[in-house]
Amino acid sequence: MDFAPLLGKANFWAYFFIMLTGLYGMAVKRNLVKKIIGLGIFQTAIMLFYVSIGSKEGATIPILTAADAAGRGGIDAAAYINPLPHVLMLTAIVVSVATLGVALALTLRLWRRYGTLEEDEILARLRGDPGGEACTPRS
Amino acid sequence: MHAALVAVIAPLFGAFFCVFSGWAGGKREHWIALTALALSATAALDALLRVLKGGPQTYLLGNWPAPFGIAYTLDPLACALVFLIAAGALLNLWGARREIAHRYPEKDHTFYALYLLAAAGHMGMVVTGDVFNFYVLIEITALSCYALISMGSERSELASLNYLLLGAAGASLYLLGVGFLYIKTGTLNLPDMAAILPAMATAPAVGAALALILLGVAVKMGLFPFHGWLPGAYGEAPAVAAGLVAPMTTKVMAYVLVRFQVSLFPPEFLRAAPALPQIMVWLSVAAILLGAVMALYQKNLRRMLCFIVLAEVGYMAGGLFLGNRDALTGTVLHIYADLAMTLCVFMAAANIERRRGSLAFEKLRGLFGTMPWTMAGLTAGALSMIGVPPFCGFFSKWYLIKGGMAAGHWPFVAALVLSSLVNVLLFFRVFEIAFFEKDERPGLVAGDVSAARLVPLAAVALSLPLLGLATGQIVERVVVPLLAPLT
Amino acid sequence: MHADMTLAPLLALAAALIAVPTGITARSANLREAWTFLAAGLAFCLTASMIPAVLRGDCPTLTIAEVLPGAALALRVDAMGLLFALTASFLWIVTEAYAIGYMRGLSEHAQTRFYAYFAVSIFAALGVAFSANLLTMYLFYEALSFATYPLVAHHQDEESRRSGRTYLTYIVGASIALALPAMIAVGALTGSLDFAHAGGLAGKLPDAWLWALLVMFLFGFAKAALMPLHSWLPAAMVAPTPVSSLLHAVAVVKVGVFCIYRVVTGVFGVDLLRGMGAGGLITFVAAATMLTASAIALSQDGLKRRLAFSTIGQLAYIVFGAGLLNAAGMTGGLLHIAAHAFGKITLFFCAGAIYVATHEKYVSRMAGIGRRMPVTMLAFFIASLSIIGIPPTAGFLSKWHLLLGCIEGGSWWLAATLLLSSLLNAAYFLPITYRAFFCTDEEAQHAGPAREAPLLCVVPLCLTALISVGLFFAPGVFLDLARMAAGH
Repeated sequence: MDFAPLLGKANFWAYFFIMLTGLYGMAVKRNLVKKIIGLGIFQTAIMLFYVSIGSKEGATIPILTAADAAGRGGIDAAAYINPLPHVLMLTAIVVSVATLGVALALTLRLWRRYGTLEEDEILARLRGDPGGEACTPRS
Repeated sequence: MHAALVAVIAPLFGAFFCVFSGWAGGKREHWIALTALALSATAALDALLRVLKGGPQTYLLGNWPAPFGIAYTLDPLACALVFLIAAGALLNLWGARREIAHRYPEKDHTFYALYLLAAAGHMGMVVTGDVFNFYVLIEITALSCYALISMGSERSELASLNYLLLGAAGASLYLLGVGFLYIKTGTLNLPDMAAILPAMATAPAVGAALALILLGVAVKMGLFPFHGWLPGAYGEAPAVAAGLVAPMTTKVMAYVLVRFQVSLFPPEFLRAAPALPQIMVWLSVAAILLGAVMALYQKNLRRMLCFIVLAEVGYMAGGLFLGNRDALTGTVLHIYADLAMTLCVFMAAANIERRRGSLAFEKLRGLFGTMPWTMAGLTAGALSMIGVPPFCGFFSKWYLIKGGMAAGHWPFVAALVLSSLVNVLLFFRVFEIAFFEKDERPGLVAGDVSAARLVPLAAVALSLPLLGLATGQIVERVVVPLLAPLT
Repeated sequence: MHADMTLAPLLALAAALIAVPTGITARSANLREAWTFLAAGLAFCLTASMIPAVLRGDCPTLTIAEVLPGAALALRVDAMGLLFALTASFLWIVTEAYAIGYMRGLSEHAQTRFYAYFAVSIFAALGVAFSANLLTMYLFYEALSFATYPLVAHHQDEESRRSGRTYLTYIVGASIALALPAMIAVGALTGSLDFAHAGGLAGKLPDAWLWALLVMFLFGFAKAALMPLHSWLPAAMVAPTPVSSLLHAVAVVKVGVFCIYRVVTGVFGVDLLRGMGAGGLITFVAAATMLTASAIALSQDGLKRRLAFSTIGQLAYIVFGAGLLNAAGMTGGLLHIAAHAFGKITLFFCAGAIYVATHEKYVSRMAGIGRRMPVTMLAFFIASLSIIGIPPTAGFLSKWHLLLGCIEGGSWWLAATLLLSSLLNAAYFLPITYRAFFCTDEEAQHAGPAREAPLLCVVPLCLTALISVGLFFAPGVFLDLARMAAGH
């Protein structure tokens, strides 16, 4: 298959690299906060990708202006940046902030219960206390 | 067709009312939630009856025309699933008032709000015909599910965080795939996209997009090898929440794959990449086998059920990619069937947990004597999962096996048969403990749970054979129209 | 043969289920048992009411739901099904009476559960008899498998737990792993599972696959207890004796062979099997099972275990009849369903009566028992004659037809096998009766005067023994139905 049109662009390569960085953080790091940071990087890479597919060289923001006396201006779609991906990313940013919020809240509760954010240590604690009946949930 | 909108919006607004009611110090959240879900179920039923009579329809949110606004695709497949989700969520919550009030004395309104949000999100994912709106709904659902799950046992937070990391990554991959598709087609509307795509089916960007979407949904669905989050998340969630997310989430994701398979993946694309369906079927075989084997090792009823869910995901994914009509029919039937039967066993398990405090095997002794009605419900669900006619699990399995035979994919057929056998073993091991071993601990609460919990369970249990007997009708009125474009 | 819609088969099935809700809610044991009697009586009368129509050549049919294309949930009553249903529903009445005597005599626990699942089991057995297609038959077959589990496991102790496990492993394991895929394959290939469309497989598959399907069906219906899938039957003998007598000598096991008959006549079709030369395979498996089971029965000391192995051997006779693939053989096989049922149920009743009266389970400790229980042992003797096939008993008739079938097929060695097996039957049955009556006073472990089991135990076994004899003189409706089903 011919991926040249897609991957010949430097910006895509850059986002790909950022994405991999995020994925690496999520997959390899054992610290929960670092994993969450990895997730953030991963999501940001995708947002950047979206933003860049909407833009084009020399284009301007899509605002309708009144046409001048000569009839220039008005709607000139070719001169605009595509606003839709950007709007979508506003939503995506909200979603990722919410995700981050939930993730941090969970991390906070884990910290309060186990006093550590290392996944291995938490797992070790959980294994050592299989019944877990002595441990009451703290809200 | 405002009915479809009402079905999704009612629980959404119900969630807000629950929060307000909680702030106001009210104690009516349970009734608000039940009302919202009942309204939703009624509306969904209404929509279902309409589309059965009048054929598939498109509902435009805010009357914006299709490529610009968000369109809801309403066909019998979607409406029936929305109805099942609404009714299931309602029945599952019905008798849980005391349990929720007891477990979360200060936070019960939060629980109800999250529960309703999750239900609304599931229904929204089913009806939406816009790929980006779908992403948003995935995340709404997922966020409320993470929070719900983390309200469970003391291991639930870590399980929920794991789910969150994988789930968010999966959703992001989906989003990336949608980006590629948008570049190529310039639209986010599913039917619109389906009309444009066949012309460019072999473009590498489209291939990459579909692969990314598939990957993202597979992660959210818990298909092997992306299943790591599933047993923990569903196993540690609060019993009531598990009864919502375990039956619904994986099935809704399978539904989405059916949609994409039918309308988005052009046959040319699948022909251009013949390895992809093969890989997916083999992954499904692996999922079924892994689910079966791991379930054997569990010492806790709910964890065991979670691994069965894992195997069932394999059933559905396999049927999707075998590439023939019978297998696809089997997948659609199994979405309905598995939703109902998983709900049934999880509700029964929640009843047992309510009485016994835990679902560890040693806590299940003597259950047939003390909780006969709950055990009858569990038995009905178990028989359906084993695949005994006339329960619905049998008929979907019938089509899946038939499809596997037609495709000549014998490993898949063997895996299905093996999984049925393992299910016999799994459930009868539990039944043996509950039947032969006596529980003589002092202070054990005798008797079954209250009628408020038994009646919904009975309704779900009864729906299993009814769904099974309706197989012919479902195939004729839901599946055949759906697959009509695929000739 | 014309098919007309009728509710009769459904009503007969529903009648069997009456016993469940009424039995559970009944205030007293007497009331509960009265309801069960009513259910059994109704089921039998409704079944019998269909005899004239079927003998006329009609097939009362009822479609309940179109669940799968080509395979509705449908009932149809034909001669073969009616023969089996009559046997099962009539013997249910008799067993009910016996069960009351037995269960009360031993003060068994959980009697309500026992009667409820018993009724469900009969319901499922009748359902198998009345099934119009493979799917419906499989449905009732599996229902029967699961409904009998609580009966096998009735005592809720370690032994019954093990037996229940064996029981399920063999029965459900075989049906899911073998019969189910075979059935789906047949459905996919022929587009119809209806027994009226036999032979649809012809030309659809290479012969090797047809053989594979046949083997899968033959062993998939493991209730027929063909070796090597027979071990569940001796294990299931831990159940209370009424279960062993009605279910594990009549209803459950006959369902297994009945399913094989349906597969032979209604799925493959006799012509196709003859063309494949598959009769040899069926008769070989049956003959091997027959001889092996009889040989094992010789060495069994537990009376019920000996009877169980005898059952395995006798079931093989029935399958043998199917394998002969000719009218005489099939008549014999089908007639043996009834003949063996009356004989073997008597034997089990006797075993149960002996247990209730003396708590004896072992053959070696039954010397002289004829002095204490003369009526019981006389019935035992008559029933053993019927199983061996000595006139004037029903067993002679069925084995006679089987022999005719062998000779018609021209295979003398098969006939010889039958005779040899009958000799073995005599060898493991007759010594029991002999030692029960004719032993010296020193050898006798039981002494007179006669003290029989409760009347409710003794009357049924006398009745079934008498019928065993009566069927020889007046096989009447059973022979007619068998001949009709075999295509005479």
